[in-house]
Amino acid sequence: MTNKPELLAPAGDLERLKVAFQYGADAVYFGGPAFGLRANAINFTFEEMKEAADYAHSLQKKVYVTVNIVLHNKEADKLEEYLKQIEATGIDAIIVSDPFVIEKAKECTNLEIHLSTQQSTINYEAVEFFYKQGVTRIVLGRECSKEEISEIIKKVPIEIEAFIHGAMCAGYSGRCVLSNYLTDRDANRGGCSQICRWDFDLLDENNKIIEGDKKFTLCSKDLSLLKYIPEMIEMGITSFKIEGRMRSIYYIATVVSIYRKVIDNYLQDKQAYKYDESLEKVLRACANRDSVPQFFNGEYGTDCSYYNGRVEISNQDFLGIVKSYDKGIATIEQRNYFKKGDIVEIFGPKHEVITYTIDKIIDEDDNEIEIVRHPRQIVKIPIDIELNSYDMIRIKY
Amino acid sequence: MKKIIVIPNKYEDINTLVENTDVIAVGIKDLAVNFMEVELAKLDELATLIHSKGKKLFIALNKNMHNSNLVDAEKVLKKCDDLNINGVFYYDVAILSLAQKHNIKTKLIWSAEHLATNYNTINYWAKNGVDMTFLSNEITMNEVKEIVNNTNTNTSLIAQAFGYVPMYVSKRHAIDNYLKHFKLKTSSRDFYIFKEEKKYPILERKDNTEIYSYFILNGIAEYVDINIDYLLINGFKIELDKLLEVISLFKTVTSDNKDKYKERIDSMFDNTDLGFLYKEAIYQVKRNDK
Repeated sequence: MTNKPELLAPAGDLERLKVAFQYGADAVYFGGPAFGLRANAINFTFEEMKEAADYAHSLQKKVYVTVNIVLHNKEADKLEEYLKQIEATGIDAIIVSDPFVIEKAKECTNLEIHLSTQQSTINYEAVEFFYKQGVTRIVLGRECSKEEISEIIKKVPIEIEAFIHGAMCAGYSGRCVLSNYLTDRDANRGGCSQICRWDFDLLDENNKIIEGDKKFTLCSKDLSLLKYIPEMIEMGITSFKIEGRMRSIYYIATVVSIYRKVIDNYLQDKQAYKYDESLEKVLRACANRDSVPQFFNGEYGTDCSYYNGRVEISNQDFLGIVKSYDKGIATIEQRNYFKKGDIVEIFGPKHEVITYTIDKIIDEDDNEIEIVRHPRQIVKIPIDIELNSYDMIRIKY
Repeated sequence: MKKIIVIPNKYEDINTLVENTDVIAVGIKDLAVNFMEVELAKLDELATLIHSKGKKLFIALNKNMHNSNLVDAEKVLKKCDDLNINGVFYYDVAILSLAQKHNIKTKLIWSAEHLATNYNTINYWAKNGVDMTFLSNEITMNEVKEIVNNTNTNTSLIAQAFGYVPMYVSKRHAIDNYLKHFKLKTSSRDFYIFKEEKKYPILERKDNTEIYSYFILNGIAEYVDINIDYLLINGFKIELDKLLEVISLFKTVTSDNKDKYKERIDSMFDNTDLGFLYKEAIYQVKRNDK
């Protein structure tokens, strides 16, 4: 019988964590108040970690905390206390990068330890080494091909976690300090300023610019392995990881729900399973970036890179979130401009996508209005289909 | 007395360099990054030459190893013992694991570049059988001193004190992909990326792209009074005559002449810098201010 893989989602705060669980994540990972690699995310306090763990466990789900910065001398003194505080919150595992954290966690806690992708573990010898050190799960480097992942799984009896979706590092994780040298921000301690998305002039040995239609960049397209989920399930990968602790609730809801659907559909009836290409379009639109399988198929040529000098623009597709539903009236919090007459899609964890034409909008003072233009404006929309809190409204694709 | 390790710029320079340094360090072709590469077939000849001069040879097996690299890496490790190679720089823990499985006697140098930033982790690796550590270039002099004072005495320490600094290693072929994508042709053998008046060397190997700093690290004065075992001089893109002069200055620098020597090296190049020796990169987890 095929094992059901864990679907692991990121969360930048409690709201996003709850959305991830509501939309089908089996586990969620996030950063704490220190020692994490997303210094610009909001991150969780110890109280919030406890709330997150309690919430997850009430659903028979799990939460993991990143403790994956590269330590400097001065930080080590505070590590033991920090690990004990994390353990007291009831979280299920920590994700570490620096091997000293493994040693310290084993010495002073009973925490389960996952090895971060920051170690760029991409071969069975390295996996075996960390297995013997007491690590229970390895988050593989994103440079692994499917053949390499399969060989690792066959050779070492340890849980393997692989990325399935999200942004990519252009270099090997841990081996890029462009951010340090170009912006004084420490890439391996949470300050990465994504120099890989800058453009440069490429010069030859005579300092002459080698000029293409667009400038040189290290920028990578995102990763998406939606099409390969059945294959990955059969390979025996323990956990499917989605990248993006700083992403929006809309992104998390969309990505988690789509992967949830594909995993469940495949496992429900392998023979009848058919890949739905239309889901790719939704994923691409929600990330606002192109995505490819990257290294999974062993090919990583020009198709993996962005050379279009693109400017990142924020996603305008997410129109609002359902706060509550009562007696035919949905209370909505606006996230982007929409108006009466718009044809929209409503999606949520408990029902299929609903196409709906907005024919009436009522503001908080009970006035009927035509346009919802104010950020986070609360409005009411009469709708005879029962909705749930955390359902989301987007443009019709 | 500190020993000097030199990474040559070209293979042909080794004959001259070996007379002037304690250790020559080279990478093994297709299994190393950030080192001048040597074909494995030439390793016997090179070891013979260097050992005949009473000097040491360190090699690098420091790329990120994929499953398919492990057989070759194992062969090289076994050869290291046969040839009495004096040290192996490695990044991937697979090399440590393989060396232990095959009871390799050659000394292992934990060379995780940007990750060797604290004495606790250095001591962790020492307990796990590592003999030397090559320190990160992204730590301050104060941190270097703390590491020197708190590292287990059975671990030797290496710090880069001169040369271009490795900043980036990728599995992707960044230059080749760019040229292919825009159907560009060039006969150039050297490449740079240029941004905001700074020029960064970039090069591709069979399996990797590497990028170096725009500056040449000049730490000659900084390490004089530090009790570190080895100083590494990276000869990448440094002409031989200048490299020889730099080595000579490093061998004779004292507390009394260090400032004058530092100025001399600064005057030889127009892009020297102290990197992060006196500046800390920004790092602060944002407070939860919800």
